[in-house]
Amino acid sequence: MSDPDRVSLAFIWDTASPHFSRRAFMKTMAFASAAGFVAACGGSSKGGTTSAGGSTTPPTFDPKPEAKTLNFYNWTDYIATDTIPNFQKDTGIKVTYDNYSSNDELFAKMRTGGSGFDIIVPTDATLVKMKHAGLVQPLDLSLIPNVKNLDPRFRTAAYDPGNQYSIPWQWGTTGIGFDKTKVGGAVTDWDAFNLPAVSGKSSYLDEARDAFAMALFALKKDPNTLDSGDLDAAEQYLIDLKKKIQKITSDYQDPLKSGQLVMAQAYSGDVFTIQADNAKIEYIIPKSGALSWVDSMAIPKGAAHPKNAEAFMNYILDPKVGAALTNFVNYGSPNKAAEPYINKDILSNPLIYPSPAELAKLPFQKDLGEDELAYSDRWDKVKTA
Amino acid sequence: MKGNLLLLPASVWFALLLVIPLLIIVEYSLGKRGVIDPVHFTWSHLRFANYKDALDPDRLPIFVRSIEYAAISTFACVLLGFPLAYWIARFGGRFRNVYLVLVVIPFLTSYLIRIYAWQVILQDNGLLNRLSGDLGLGSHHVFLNHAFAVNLGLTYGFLPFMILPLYASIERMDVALVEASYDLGHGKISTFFRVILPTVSPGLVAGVLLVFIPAVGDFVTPSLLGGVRTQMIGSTIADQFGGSQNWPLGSAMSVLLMLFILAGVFVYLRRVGEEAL
Amino acid sequence: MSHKSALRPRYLKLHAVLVFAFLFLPIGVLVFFSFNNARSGTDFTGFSTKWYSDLIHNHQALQAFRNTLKVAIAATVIATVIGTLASFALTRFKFRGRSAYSTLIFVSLVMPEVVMGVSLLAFYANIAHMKLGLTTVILAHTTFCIAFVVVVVNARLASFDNRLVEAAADLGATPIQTFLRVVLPLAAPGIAAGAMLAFTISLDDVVITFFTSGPGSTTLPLYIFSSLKFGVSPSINALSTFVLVFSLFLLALGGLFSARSAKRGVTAVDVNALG
Repeated sequence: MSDPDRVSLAFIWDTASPHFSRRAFMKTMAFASAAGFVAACGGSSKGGTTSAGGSTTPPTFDPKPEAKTLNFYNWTDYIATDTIPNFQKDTGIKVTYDNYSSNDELFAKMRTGGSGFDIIVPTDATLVKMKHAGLVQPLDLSLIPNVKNLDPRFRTAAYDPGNQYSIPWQWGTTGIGFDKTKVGGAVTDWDAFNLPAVSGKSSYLDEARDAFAMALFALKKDPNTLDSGDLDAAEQYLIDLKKKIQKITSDYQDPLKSGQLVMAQAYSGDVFTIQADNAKIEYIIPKSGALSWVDSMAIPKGAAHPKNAEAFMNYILDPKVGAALTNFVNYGSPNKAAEPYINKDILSNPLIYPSPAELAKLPFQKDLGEDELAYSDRWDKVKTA
Repeated sequence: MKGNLLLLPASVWFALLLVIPLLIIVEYSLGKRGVIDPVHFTWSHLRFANYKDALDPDRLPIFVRSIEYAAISTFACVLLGFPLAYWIARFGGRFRNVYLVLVVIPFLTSYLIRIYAWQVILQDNGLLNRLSGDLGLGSHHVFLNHAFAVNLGLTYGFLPFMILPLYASIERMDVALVEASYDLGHGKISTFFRVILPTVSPGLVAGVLLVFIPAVGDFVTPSLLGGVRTQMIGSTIADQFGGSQNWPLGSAMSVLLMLFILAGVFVYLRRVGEEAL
Repeated sequence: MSHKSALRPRYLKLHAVLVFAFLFLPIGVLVFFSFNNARSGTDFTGFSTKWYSDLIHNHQALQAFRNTLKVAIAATVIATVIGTLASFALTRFKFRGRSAYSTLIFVSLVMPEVVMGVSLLAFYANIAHMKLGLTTVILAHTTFCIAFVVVVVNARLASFDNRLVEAAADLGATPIQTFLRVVLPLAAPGIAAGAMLAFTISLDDVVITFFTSGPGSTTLPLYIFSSLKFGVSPSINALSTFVLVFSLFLLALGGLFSARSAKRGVTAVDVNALG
């Protein structure tokens, strides 16, 4: 039902929108009209299926060849040192590499206006929002034959079935990182934040859905629930927990390493990186469950070098390149064909590659569409409290 | 006429890069929020409710705290900055410019690195606690992620904004006036209030404004040095554009913050009698 | 007479030393850790200069540093010129709409950074249709720098004695001569102070830069902010130390500047005497 080109037009300069505003400078207020369009689609995003994913619109081709450049916008310290140099050597495409540090920042920037980047690496939930808002364009999979190397789990995932918009980069879980010598007890589940030794020395993530998922898992509820009773309970849980922690932050890595924090809600690979410097730091996937996430490469709408971007995606899906990446960043690789080249200690680590039984307890964040505001509002209350 | 000509560049610049963005924010503040699209604005449905939400009494403590922290750090900047600026201007001799640049040099390294260095100093096993332990004052004080660290960070970050304007106005103070005051039998305190203060007051006013105003809305300092109980209004506004996904509310809060500060500034300027600003 | 001064130089000097110590304390920490053997900002494990040699190969950091300098210099120069001109007009002429100007200046000081960043990006992308890059960052920085220049120069020019200008005119000076030889020297310390402030705030900005930058225009603060997750890397400390040493070197050259501005001061006094 969706026509990505229409969304994009609406986003840039939609004079056809019913909400076309009268004043010259106001009509450029892009999202107003795009929001009108999405609203007109009638809550298409409800129920967790991805509406925009059904698009069959072929990507538009530029008749003239692309300049040999690629503007890559990625998370910090999230690439092997030789990934880009080797790609440049192989293809002659010059890569400009810039970094961002949060999905919120990336999303706020992408939806306010064009950015000039050819590849971005949003996390699954943000990718879905970007699809809905028409901020990313469909991929030409014929230029990415290596897509066959992907683990089937990532070819059919609900956030982007059939990889129409994205190629996964790395994946992991959101659990607990802690200093085993300082927590004064066993850490197996989310209730570890109540250990007396941890009081005033812990943190949880400054991400609404991640924090709520922790509370909902701890309360044995669905981490993607829309039940207002459950959400109220989770809100109260987070407000109560806030009194026992030191900080709500996503920059927990260095404080955890230095001992300023002894426990933090954390992303798996981050903790493994800390471990290299401080062997006392451990990571667990809590017993009652945790969220999985996957960061995926996507091409922003209107990118100048989509074919170079697709060439890069194909390159990353090469078994050896993908393995080198995982060996460097310590996250799980979505690349099945890369596994023979991945270090054995990563492959055999159940915290990076959980067993199928474990995986069942590690759902992805569900796309809630506009209903996500139920989380946002409560998150605001948690932060204000 | 000439005045207009001098103002032309600033006028064009502000019209394009300040007034238009300001109008965009006002527009946002009257729109409807969304997840997929942050703001949904229509002329027929202006949502003034955002302003009502912005005045939610639950947020009052955060606002009061912002004013409090900004006031404390402004006061600390005056205490630290005034004597220094005075000393440089009057007794710096031919090294005055060197001292002045020395004030600025720490600020040529990135703000984030300086704040990070403060984290190292203030953390639980940091330099300050070790020093305090060596002095027998106990080594288990909690500084980082609490009010002390935020106030210290703000004071540190804005100190040059106090020193430089103060210097610029003290430097033109007429020393003969100070000495005449003594010759007329006025004491130190009397001379300070009757001669020195009036001359340097434009610089002091400018310094107070340049420290207080940006400090109220600051959000990088509280987010790096503060904890769960030190949230400031700038962070709350930033949250609306991030995790709380409420751009209209964030915009309305900003508009109200700007109006409130402007009103305060004008009352302040009237009281101190600085019309030129 | 100075022994009678309300603010005794001896105590003032002690105070100055303490304030300078406060200002340089974190700088000392970062210089110290730039020689740390380990990649840690908290534990000193041994002396090493490897981060300095690493720095030469850290193209991303060096590129970011170059961008920062370009942006800060351009924004400072433009904002200083525009702000100084505006300040002359605001302090010397009475005209309608003057308070509207003051309002705008304070608005740019008080506008929360996120809000300014988002609204400028909306302006670039949807109204001006500009490609994000160094230019858009420089435009944004100049915008918030102007206010700082105006406020500082105003403080210097407040209660400016117009008789000086009249005297110069009486002596046959053209308006341009008057401006260059009377007004400008009087305002110079204020202009220099304003420019220094503008330079430091441009050098420090993260939030507005994030929203207004495009591919290849990452500045150093932005680079550091995005790598803060794992703590400031010692190579960033090394870079900062390098910048510090370089600026101290420039400061040594600053003796020259002192001498020149002292000369300008004499010019102003001469005219003063004539008046």
